[in-house]
Amino acid sequence: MNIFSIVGIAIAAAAIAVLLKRYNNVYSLLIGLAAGLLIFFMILNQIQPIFDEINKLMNGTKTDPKYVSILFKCLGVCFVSQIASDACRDAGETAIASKVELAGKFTVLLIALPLFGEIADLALKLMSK
Amino acid sequence: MGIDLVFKIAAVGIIVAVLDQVLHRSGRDDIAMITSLAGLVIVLFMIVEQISRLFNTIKSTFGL
Repeated sequence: MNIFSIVGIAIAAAAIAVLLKRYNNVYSLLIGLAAGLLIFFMILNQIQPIFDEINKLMNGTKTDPKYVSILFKCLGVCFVSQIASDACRDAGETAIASKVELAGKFTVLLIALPLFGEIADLALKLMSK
Repeated sequence: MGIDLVFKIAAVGIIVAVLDQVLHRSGRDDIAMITSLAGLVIVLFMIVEQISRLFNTIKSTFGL
């Protein structure tokens, strides 16, 4: 993840997208999507040390590894839905973009649902003491 | 994959735009529409490959 190459890709892609917008709007959307994917891949290839560090810290606090995996799953859902909603918003379809975001929010909620039950259990346990 | 993908899409876009204009000027509107559709399909196939790669990477990275 060389920040200078990412900046170069972003500016080149933006220039090409503006150039093509005059002839055909769809191609500028697709170029935006391609450049976004490219930059995202560059980030994902380098992100592993951060995950390892977070896992190490969580292991140090004796947190259940189930919770860490829920955290990462939510992060992945957020990334995917953000990419899709940004692409839709670029194309001018804000309604579809907000629906994708809504779907992402509900998916995150669905993934985190087991945690709510555990919080309720904990609260009940504290109250009965 | 690199910046080549962006340049490839740009090349297809420019070629299709030129072909579209030439065909419109010569009065072949139906062929112009088919040309722009074909260009769009080609570019979509290029993108879809990368999107599936992205999904696989995210699935393996975030354990989805």
